[in-house]
Amino acid sequence: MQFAQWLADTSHPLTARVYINRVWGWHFGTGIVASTENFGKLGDQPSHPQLLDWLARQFMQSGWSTKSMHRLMVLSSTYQMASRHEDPAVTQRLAELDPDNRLLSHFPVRRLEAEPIRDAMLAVSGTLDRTFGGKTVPLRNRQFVFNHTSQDFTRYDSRRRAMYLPIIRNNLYSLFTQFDYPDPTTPTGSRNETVVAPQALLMLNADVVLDSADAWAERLSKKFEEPTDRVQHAYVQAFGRPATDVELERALAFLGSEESGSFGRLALFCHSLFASNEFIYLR
Amino acid sequence: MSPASGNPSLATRRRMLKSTAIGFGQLAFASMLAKESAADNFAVADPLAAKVPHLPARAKRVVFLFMKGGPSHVDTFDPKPLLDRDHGKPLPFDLPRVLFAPQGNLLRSPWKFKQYGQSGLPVSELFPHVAQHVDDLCILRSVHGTNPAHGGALLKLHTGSDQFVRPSMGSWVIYGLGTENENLPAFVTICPTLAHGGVNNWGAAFLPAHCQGTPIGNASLPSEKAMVKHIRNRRLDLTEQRRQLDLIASMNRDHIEAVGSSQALEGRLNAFELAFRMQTAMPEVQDLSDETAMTQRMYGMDDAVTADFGRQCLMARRFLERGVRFVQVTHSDSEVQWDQHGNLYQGHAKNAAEVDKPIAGFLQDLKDRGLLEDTLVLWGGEFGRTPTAQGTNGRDHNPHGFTMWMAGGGVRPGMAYGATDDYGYYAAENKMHVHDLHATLLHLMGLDHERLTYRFAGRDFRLTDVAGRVATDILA
Repeated sequence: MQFAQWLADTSHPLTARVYINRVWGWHFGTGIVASTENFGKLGDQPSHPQLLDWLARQFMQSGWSTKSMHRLMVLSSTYQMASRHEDPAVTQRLAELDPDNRLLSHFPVRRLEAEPIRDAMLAVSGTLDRTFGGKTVPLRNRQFVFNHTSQDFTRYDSRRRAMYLPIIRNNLYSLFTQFDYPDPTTPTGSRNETVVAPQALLMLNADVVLDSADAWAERLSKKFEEPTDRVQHAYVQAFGRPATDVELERALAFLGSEESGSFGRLALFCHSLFASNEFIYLR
Repeated sequence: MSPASGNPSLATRRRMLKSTAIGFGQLAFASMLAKESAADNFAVADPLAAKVPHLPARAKRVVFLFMKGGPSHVDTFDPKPLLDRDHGKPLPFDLPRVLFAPQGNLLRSPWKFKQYGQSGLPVSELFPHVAQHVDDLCILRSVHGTNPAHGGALLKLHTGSDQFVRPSMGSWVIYGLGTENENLPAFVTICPTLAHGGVNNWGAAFLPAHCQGTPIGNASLPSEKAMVKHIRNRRLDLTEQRRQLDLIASMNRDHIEAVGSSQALEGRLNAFELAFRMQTAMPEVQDLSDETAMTQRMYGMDDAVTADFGRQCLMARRFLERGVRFVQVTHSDSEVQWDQHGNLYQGHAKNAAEVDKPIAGFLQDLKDRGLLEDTLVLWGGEFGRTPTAQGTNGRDHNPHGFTMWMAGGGVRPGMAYGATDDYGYYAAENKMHVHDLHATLLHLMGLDHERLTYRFAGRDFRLTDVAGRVATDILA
């Protein structure tokens, strides 16, 4: 109890600094202190110590409101930077001056975590169930605990947000495992962003991806008659920008002109958008 | 701290793949663990490429035949005449302080032991087929140090720790050696149990993600249904998928143009290509139809009792000969398997009947194909069982002294190493702690367990942590 009280005591900034560093890491890929779990002697130095302290103070003054810190960060000019300067000479210079982008000379391209990858597919396809609250594990007590057996009765076909999916420690949901969900038995300050073949297998073949692509294609084909409109709308939904002329041409070539099989090809096109880098790497 | 502190200076060498018909392909990149000072660990452009080990390797690949539940050593490979003589009497020395369950008096083995081969090593009636290969075996009778309960014991055996989340031994081997065939996962675990640690038993923990084991099916599925997750698309054929991949690849190349290149983004291009190839490579390995009828019979696939485990072993051989570095096979099902707290006689008889012929066939097959000499085979469970009775006819868990055996890859064949006490309770001579087992396994693979380290959370970690001695007496 005393420890808890000390943690929340505003007369020192230690708790706030650690916490706000995490929040920063969620938005910018890496914390101001890269070793999010270690602020001790063996940990990393903050890249912007005054910023960290200022943020910590702001956080405490806001009444420890995470939401207001989110707002503060995403409205900052730092957050709104592009990840690459248009002028290659500038890009080159920045790469020399700030090779690891620790000084945030440009926005660091970062990958979405497992949960938003799944949720984004559901949201874009219109199948995300936004119901708040309620049970997360749709099993009876102890039914999800398997002792000697390898029979896992857990199901992951709920279309609610990923934060409502069950976390069964010795048999995690495969989408989570593949996209670097951390080990659930230990608290983890920052997640990895790995690239391995099984992720690609999942994106190519998993039911949740195919189902979402189908649902999305259906919405697009109902709402728009013209393939051009469908492609443009899909790009805006998936990437937040319209397709370039080259992309449009390529997409239309892929979709082909024959009537038969056109839905299948539209679904495959939608599926390809999900699988592409731009869907899961933010810039 | 200096990179020399325990980091191996491993060089990459050209992959075998470059000369094969399948051709290209770099699996690219694993983690951006740059946050965890990956710069201090050796940074390799292609982390899965086969690497030159620290020491001369006796074995190029490992297969672990895991008997889940804990087979009793005093009933299989560690005969105890005094146990037979003193049946019904209490154990004449102290029991361990921590027990899984209360113990009764000494319980003799219901099985007879016979000597086999030139070595004259004794094997019980439970393993008549494996006994024919006793001259190839190095029987380790003094293994100890896992944990009295299954969960801790599996974790300790597989990862070296029953307290923390640590990389599995398979992951360490991949970390140190890469793989010989990048079209297949480097570390495969066939029909693993999801219980008692589950994914942690083949997990990479803080090691780079490419070191993660790939499960094929699980213990509650028959081995013929075992598949890598998501290996197949439910409706597309390969031609259509190829078209899709080409579209994705061109989108990704444009994206790299726009945002700038990075290892991750480039890596993803290759990851999709590798995934595409894995879709055909994996089912090819698992398709046993091109194996002769004689081979299939050798593995017991013609008999309902041995077919399931036999199939696992045959798949394992196929993975091994295609360059997969670490293969685990698990004898486990939805029940307790070797964990005979009661009904020792029926339970162990049933279990042994399911694995004896397949294992013998597997050893013979490896020999026939010239694979045994550079394949390290490890057999055993997470612990042994007590010489004292549990109930009237069972044995409890015993992590204090039990038997595993090795064959192939650089071990001295036809010998027994170490001993338990007169009754088979505690390891007594030439004790082999799990850490020692791990150190020895790595040594046989050409890896120095003290130099195969990874810097994480401020210090260097290794499979043997701060312990482990190589059992030089068992090296050929």
